[in-house]
Amino acid sequence: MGTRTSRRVLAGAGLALCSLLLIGSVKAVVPPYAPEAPAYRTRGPADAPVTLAEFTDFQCPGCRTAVAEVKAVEQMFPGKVRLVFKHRPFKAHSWAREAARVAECAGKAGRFWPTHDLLYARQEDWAELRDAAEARKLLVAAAREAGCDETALSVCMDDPASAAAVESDIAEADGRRINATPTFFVNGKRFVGQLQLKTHGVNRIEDLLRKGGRSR
Amino acid sequence: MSAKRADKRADGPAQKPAAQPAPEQGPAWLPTAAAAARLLVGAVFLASGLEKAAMPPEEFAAIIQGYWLLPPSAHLPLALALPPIEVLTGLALLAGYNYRGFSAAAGGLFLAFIVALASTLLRGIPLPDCGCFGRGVHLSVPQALGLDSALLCLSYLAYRKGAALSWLDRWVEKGTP
Repeated sequence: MGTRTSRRVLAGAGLALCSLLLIGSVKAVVPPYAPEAPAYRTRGPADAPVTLAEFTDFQCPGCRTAVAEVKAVEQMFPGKVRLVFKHRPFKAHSWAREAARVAECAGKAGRFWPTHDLLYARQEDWAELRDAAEARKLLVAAAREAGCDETALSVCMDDPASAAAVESDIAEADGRRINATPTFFVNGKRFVGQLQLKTHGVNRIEDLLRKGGRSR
Repeated sequence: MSAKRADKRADGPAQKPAAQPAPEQGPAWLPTAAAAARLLVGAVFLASGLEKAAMPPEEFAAIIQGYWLLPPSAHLPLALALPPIEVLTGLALLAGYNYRGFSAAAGGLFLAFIVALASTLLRGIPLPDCGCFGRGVHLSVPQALGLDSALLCLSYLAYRKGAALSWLDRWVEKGTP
């Protein structure tokens, strides 16, 4: 009887250990980190105690609704938050890479944030289009309306360096196992989606500011 | 009380034939099919648990949030707890450890998933991906409902007749696998 019980306990413990080992072997160990981006893709004081990095896709509806939340966070903690924008366009979104390139080129012309806002505001107009030329026309029109020169924009968009900047962010996102957008990092701690930012993310910012230091 | 009945009682159980459980009825292939069902359910749990464990818990928490069933404070703890539970259930069913208990646990989990999925349909919540297999396999809500219902039936079959090939239970009982 005693032997049977001990065998049962041993087998159960063995299975639990196997489960933990299996999970440990597949689990990504992604240490907290602070993504960086060119200056035109950042907003807020460079020495702000909190860095809020966002990986987003211009064609993702969740990212569009998160724009207001990010602005609300910036307004909640004026001068305390530095926003860093990172591209994470998904292949399933036909025009997301093109939109990212438009924003990238608008950024080089000093018009990243107005273009960013317009691309999201008009996402429903271009996201569902089937025709690539028509989609590009609307994307470029948004950048033009944001103050970009169309000729310079076209030249920039055909420049492989613009695509490379976007691909570099995608590679970084893949390396960090960012499979959902929007994904935020508050001083290195990950939050996925608008709700997590609004609840746990804001709590973390408050904690960080209360402690008065960085914890990357 | 008559004297005859009192005598019967005084004789006690030693006189009565020991109660034997009625022999299990059913076709000869049923135990094999039930064991196969147990192995299949175990494999599904192992795969889905590992897929979920492989993704950042915050991403799985965001999927759980999409069901709008639990308060935000419960999303991350559930995202952390569910993958190990699924992996352990899967391994136990595959190895045949306490097969009845883990078949019942599997059935309970499938029932919970079915209730959660059906509630999104009833409340009109759009759920592009059920998150059943993490980011590995994308299933729509109706597809996931169909799969979970089928697996619930298989869990019941495994619970009733899935003792065959339970080598870990055999080792526990007899000391040899």
